[in-house]
Amino acid sequence: MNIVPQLIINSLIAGSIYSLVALGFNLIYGATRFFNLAHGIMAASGGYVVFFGVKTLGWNLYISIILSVFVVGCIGYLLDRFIYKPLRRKKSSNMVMLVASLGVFSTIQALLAILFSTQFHSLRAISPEQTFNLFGGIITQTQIIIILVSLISTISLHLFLSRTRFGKAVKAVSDDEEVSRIVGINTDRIIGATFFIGSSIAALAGILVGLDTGIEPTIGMSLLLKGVVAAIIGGIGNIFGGTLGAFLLGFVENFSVWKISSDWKEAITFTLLVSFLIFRPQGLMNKRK
Amino acid sequence: MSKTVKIVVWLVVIIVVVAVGTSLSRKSGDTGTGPIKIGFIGPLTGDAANVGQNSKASVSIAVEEINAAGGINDRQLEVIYEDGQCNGKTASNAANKLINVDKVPVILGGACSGETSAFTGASEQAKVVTLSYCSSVPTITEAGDYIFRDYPSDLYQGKFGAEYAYNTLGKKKVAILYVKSDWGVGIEKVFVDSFKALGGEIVAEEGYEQTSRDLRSQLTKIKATKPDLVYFLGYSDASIPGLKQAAELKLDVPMLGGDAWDDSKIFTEAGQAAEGIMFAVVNSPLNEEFKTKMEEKVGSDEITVCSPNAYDATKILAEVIGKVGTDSTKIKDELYKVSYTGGVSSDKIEFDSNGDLVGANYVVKVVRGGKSEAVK
Amino acid sequence: MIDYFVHISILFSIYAILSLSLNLVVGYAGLVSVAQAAFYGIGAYTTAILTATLGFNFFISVIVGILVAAILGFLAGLVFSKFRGDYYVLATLAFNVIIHSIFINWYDLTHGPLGIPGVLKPNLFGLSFSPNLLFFILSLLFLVAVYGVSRFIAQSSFGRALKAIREDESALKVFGYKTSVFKLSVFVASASLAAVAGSLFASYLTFVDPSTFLLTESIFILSIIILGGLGNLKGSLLGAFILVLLPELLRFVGLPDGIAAQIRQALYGLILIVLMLYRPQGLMGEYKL
Repeated sequence: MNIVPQLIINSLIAGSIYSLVALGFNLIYGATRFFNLAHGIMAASGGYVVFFGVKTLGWNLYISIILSVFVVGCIGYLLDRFIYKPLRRKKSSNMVMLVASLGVFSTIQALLAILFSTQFHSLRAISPEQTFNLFGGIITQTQIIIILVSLISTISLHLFLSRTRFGKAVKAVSDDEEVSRIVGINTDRIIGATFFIGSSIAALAGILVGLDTGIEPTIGMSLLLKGVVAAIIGGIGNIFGGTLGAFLLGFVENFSVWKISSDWKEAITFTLLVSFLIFRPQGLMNKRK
Repeated sequence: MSKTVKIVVWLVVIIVVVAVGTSLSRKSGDTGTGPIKIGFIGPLTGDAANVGQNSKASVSIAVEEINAAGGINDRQLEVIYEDGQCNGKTASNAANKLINVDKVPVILGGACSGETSAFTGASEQAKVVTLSYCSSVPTITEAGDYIFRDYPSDLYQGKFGAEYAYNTLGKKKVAILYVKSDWGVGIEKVFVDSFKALGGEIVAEEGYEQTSRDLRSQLTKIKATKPDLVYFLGYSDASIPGLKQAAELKLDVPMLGGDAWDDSKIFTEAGQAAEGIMFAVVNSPLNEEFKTKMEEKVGSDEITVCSPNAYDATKILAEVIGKVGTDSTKIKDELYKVSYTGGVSSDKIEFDSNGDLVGANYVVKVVRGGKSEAVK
Repeated sequence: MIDYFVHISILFSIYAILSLSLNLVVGYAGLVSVAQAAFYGIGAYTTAILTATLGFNFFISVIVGILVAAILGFLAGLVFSKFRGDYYVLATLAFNVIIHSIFINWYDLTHGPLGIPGVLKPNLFGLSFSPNLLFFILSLLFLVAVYGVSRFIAQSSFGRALKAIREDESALKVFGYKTSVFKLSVFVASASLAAVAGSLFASYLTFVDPSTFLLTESIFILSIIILGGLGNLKGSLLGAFILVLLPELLRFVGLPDGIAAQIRQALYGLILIVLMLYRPQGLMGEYKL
């Protein structure tokens, strides 16, 4: 049996998830220029809010999802308001912000574990899913949704950033925060909004992973790392770069375990990262500064 | 550096030292009166928390029964529970506290082989008896004179799995999917050697990180090798999505698992995907009374792997201490002579000259309709 | 009683050595690295393999461990020295993941997840250091030696150059300093010292397995020096003291065992956040990230 079609499908699914994580990460990086490590836990939180809504409160799945995306967006906004903004005021360096975001990550992850236990939970009901046969490979309904959501989110975000006034303001802040402020843009509000949007998108990623596989407090870190690798190899701060990098990562991961033992999957991901850092640090889509 | 900061820093140091000092001075060893204390180490949090908490429950039931019957020579039995987190360093710290602060003569634990391996050096040196209710890695056999276990070594399980697959099920081509933990890797190696020795063919050996939940890459590769059977050595958290993913990928091949599959959570959460899976587990003649009490304590009918062994271990220790007292060397000598029957984990428990459980009686169970039952 | 205090002190010495080694790179050279657990592991495994499997003397294994770590540190550092701030962190992160992958997958060398038991205690001309008290004295001696070496590095002209690089690398380049050579040397030194801690750890537990050398451990060591103060060696000792003692204290407080570990993690996270907001140079540090 030819396993290439299945590998391609697996790569697309993985790439779509990483792309969603990279999307929000890039958005925030673009506006603030720091690596927000707490981004990963926003994804995990998204999954957990849905879990709470469906399992504990008994709400409808779709309502819980919409609510979760909104709630996590707010959490992202509040984190910016109370932690990152004060740090920006003090002209803290990127490293300080990075370490602070690491602190946020640890704290929220611990909270999730306390509230929901460290056990693994699936968001989806037990019944077997509808599967489709695609050129010899198999894909489930949820997985098709993942790919679609990822594509739609990327395109929507791109349109939003390039066509709306708000989007242009975000771009201005990314290019130069000082000048934007002088020109009259309320940079704090713009940045707060990017945290909201970025975190919401991350929540989507977490929810989709939860539906496809399941959630536990530790998925935040692994999703984050994949998203960061995707963002960097694609070109940090570049929306389409993140998507490109994500799919490249998905393909490399899945095709490499075909020939090399799956034991080394993690090592391969990070070797890819290091290779890019050495040979093309600006990523695929950025120009060398 | 400013004066205030210096003062603050010294204050912090003093407070910490005093706190540690006072908290340490409260404890003392066995004085001959008052409750008899033994230690317990298990993964109360983390990946294997299910097993740890379940075992803690069974131990506490044993303790209640012992104390209700008058305790040990009219002294109550008390267990000091410490969290090993299925991690060597944490378990080592826990053991050190139990040995040096609580001064227990016996430690019941650890569960994960990584936990136990990390502190048997210390407990052997301190002459504290260690009775593990769950650790199966073969290296524990050589761990020392004071180290025992009432749970069989992996050598048994891997061999049994291979023989069952080849002889009973008649499968000649097996693909292995295994978790990269000491349990998974240990059994996998024994299975491969045994299966090949019988004349079988191993068409794939795919490992996955213990924290992985997406096994699609491995399953895709396995599917391509067209095996007769998949030997899937996984813990619950990865097995549930793993079984679902196998079903989604249409890997329509029988599955044989290890004793970690003796967890009802898998059958209920994996639903249809778990239908027909088989697993080998030590034949535990659980009696109804034990089951009822566990259900009351845990709030569900779940009895994980190892918790019957923890229960029996507690009872055995109580008997031994009742006979020879709390001197750890005497306890150790007496343990070698134990021949315990009527337990819930096994019909007869004896320890060989290495402190290992003698013999292991495995049975195969199959999952039908969300519940496991013995294969006829 | 004394024994328990001795046990904690041994752990303290090991972590103190680790934090001193990391401080050289982060506090003095200003390079945030999360690779320390990898070198820690290299020292531990070298000692384990040489003493348990091959029967070598502990002290020989320490020297070999230092050499192996130095060589790997040199090779890795060679690649990383060209990176600036954020990317340096990512590269060290990748290094840690890759080395951990090797620990867990190179079964023939490391026995993978099964680990290596039976590591020998130190033995010098017939004097065996197996009683804990003697082992503690030995580890304390190592600590003093490492402290001495660190202080020597910090206060030498090499150390002063490092601090200058930390403050303004471009300026130093203009003056003709080959800054990447400096960064590389301190990284190698740091790796070697971390390996010493690893050897001690392996010998103390008489057992090594991959689970100790994860990314989370590197982050923990980083937290120690951030708390204690970057660029201040005494601060590292203080940080190690507090963060090694804290979990043990919590053990006595009697938190419900289901969440004790999580509470600890939440506390670490909060400490990082609070530090970054109000005292980014740590308790005794002189350098803000």
